[in-house]
Amino acid sequence: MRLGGKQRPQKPLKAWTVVLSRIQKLQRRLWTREAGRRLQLLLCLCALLSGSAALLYRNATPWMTEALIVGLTAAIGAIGVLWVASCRPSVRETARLLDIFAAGQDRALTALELQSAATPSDWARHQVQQTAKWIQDIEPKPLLGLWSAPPLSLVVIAALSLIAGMMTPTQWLTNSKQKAYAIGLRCTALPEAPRLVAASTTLSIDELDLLRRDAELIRSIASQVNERETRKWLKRVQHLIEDVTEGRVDKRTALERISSLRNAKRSADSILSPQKAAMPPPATASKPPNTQTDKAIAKALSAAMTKALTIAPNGPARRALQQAAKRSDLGAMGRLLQKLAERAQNTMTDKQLERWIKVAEKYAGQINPKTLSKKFDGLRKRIERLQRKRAQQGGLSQSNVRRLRRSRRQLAQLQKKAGDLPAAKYQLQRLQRQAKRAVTQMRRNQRQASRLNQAPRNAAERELRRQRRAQNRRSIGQQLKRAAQQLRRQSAAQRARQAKRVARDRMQQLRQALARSGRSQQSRRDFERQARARRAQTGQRAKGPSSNNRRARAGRKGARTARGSKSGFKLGSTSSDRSSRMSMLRRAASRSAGSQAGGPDQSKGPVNPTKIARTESVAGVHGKGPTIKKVFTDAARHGFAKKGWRVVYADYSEVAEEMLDSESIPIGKESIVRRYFELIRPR
Amino acid sequence: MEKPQSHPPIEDRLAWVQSQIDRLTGAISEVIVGQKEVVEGTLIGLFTGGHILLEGVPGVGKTLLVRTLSDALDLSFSRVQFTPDLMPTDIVGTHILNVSDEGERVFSFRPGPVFTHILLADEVNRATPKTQSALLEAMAEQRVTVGTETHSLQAPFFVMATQNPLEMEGTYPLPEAQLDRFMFKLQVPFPSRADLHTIVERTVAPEVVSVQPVMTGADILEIRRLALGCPCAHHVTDLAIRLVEATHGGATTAQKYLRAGASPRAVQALVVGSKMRAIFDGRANVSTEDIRALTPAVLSHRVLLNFDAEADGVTPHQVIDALLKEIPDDSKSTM
Repeated sequence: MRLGGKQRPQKPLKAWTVVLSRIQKLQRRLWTREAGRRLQLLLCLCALLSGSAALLYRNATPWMTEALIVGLTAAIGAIGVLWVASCRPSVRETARLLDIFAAGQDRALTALELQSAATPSDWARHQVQQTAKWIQDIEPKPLLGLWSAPPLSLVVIAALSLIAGMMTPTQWLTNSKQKAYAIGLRCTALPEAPRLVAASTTLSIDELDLLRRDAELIRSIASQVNERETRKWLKRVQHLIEDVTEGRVDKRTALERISSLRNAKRSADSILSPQKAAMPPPATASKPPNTQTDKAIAKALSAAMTKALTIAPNGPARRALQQAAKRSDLGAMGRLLQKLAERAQNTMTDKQLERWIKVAEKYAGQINPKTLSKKFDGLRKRIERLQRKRAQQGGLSQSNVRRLRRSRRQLAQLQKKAGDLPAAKYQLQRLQRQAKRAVTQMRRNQRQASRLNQAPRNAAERELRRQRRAQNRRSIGQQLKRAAQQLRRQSAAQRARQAKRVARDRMQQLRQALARSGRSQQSRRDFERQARARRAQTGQRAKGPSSNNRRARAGRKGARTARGSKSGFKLGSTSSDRSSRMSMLRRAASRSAGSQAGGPDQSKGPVNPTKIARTESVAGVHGKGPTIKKVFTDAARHGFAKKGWRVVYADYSEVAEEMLDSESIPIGKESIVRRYFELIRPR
Repeated sequence: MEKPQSHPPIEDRLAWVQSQIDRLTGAISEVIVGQKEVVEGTLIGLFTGGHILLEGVPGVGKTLLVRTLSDALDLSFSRVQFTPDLMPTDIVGTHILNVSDEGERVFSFRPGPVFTHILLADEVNRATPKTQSALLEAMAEQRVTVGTETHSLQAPFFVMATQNPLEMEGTYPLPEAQLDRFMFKLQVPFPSRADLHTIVERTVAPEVVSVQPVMTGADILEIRRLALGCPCAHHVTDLAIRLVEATHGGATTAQKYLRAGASPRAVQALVVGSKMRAIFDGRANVSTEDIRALTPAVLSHRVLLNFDAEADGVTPHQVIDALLKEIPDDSKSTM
């Protein structure tokens, strides 16, 4: 660049170096400040998260595993490092901030831009020098401000959450409402204890007593149970409950022990029958069913109930009962009997059911322990005899040996029978009780049914009667309404007819009066004079505007003229009723004349009294009577309003344009007129 | 071969400019009380070669300002009172029949009042559009064509036009295209109470304050050349452009209230005026503050309000203020 003829050498400006170094220094300080601030925020966030994670982990939240914690920590750490490292401002941004904070008025930014030019001009040099001088005088500390720490509240919350997560006492865990206890105890599958616990969805702190009672119950149940494995398992459950109530284990350990108990329970599930509900109490449920006794009982029952079964309703239940008897399944038989009893409650009589019960009782009586014991004694004696014989004779013959063996076998069988007797007896008694219960239930149901059968009928009848009464009332009301309407119509018609009759009579009278008056000798003029005098007395004038008065007078004149043209009638009678009638006639004539626009047609002649209009007011109840509503949409549908305005505007704008072109409006006002029309144009 | 002129360094020139400006404002302030923004705007317009449109109620010192300016700058001054019957020839001049020395009758050109350095066109909106256009041609092209002859006007040529905002009846408002030729539109406010006290003390006194010339026309041209070289950063020019673009619907307020936006002349006026303002401030660079400070004066007469603005009672200044709030300084701010 040539300046004053001298070619100035192109060398880097020293001032620019100063400016750049200051800006870079500030850039580093800004970066450090921002990085520190972000690091502080990151630490607070990490404290918050780790406190929450510790809390969740110690609470044994299922999804809070070690792997998740490590992964989250790594991810947050990586993101945090990137976030902290990415806060470095650019040189341009630093210059901009410098200009803003130090009121540099874009000095630094302009200097940056000017220095990037290939050949700086004098202006550029001067500007950079000016900027260098200015930037050297700036104190960066006030510019950077204090170390901007994150808000104190955030630090406090982070610290508290970390402490809470790490230092939460385990005692809190035992006293907290945790469903895990209920879940853990539910897996014991004991009939009483889990129900006690599972009845409430959460355990309360006050239910420690309940837990202790559960432990007691489990202990007592364990003592009743004969099975070694089950007793061991119940003891483990008991220990677990005690540890939890005493607070010796935390939630995670408790859950681990519960899951191991559950696994143990599953593996020992074969000990416990799947049909727990159908089984007798634990003391007897542990004994397997005796198939021989069951068969005998079932056979005997089915034989005894053959007759009764024929009476039972035919169907799958009966067939199932027969099949159960064949299988000797006493439990199924009992259930089916109950089912049959319920089904047969409506068809079987009490006597038939009682016969069933007697049959069962009879069989139950047949299985008499005394008979068995007699047999048992007899066999025992036989065996002893044989044994004495052997001792005496030094041996037994083959037949005696066979007899001995047979006796021993019978003895063993009888012993077994005797042993199984209580179970069989119990089964039978149970069956008996079930049948009795079925009968009682059936009787109860029958009584209830008979009552219900009547009650609904009565209720239905009552309801029907009530509805009929209501309907009658409604119909009567409607009828009355119709009758009233009809009556009203009739009365209105009657009144109308009466009014017509009255009017006709009056007209007739008037005609007669007119006819009579026409025969009198009084002159027409005298009559008119009298009529005018009468009108003046009564003060009756034709109503309406002055034009109507003029029309009325015209009408009357016309009538007079018409009357004058004909030979006409002569009015003569001066009687009061006739005069009043005449004045009425005149009034009506004037009224009819006044009401016509432009007056009556003179060519039509005098007013016919038979066509006098009468006004009559009718009293009625406001709001009653028919109403008609009609909406006229034609105008709106055809866009009458919009169209009208557009047409008007178009017309007047044309007129205004013509006026404007004709220069009749001052030039100074033209713009106003144009503007006006612009503003009022339809949009 | 001409000897190359040696220019003093920029610093010295800038220092000289500042001293000149200080002297000029000092001289003006001896006569004009207050009105600092108006004086500054007027000087910026004068030194950048632009023309000023003054608006204010009668008696606030519009004519006095121009007269004082002309006295302080030792420049010729003309005042034209525009009336509806003013003809274009009354402004630009006309040919008259003269008798030459030889006794021949010749037509000679009698220059009009426009042939001056500083022209005050009072109530320019009262003249007919024909007369207005004669003046505006002179303003735009710095020359006048009468008949077949073209006459150049002397530099610097500076026009200050005034409009009476009260009596708009029977006036011919300047159209948009002609308003655009004025660099600034300055509102001359009513003086404050303290200023009124000072005005009374100065004017209602036996002594008459006169202003001595402190600068010449050559100085004005020199300052103008210097100001045009002042560097303007890209982001500052970008701001000026964004502000003008905003008047064309780029901003919410503009979309709602403006019918037409400013022309590219507005950008030129903003940048040139900002350069001069920076020079006045002693800075060697233009800043966004300069742009924002001059935006109302540059844009308020260049935008057209729509019916919604008139119905809502919104003035152009209010629209411009809203634009200034909407448009940020730097469009590429990262932090």
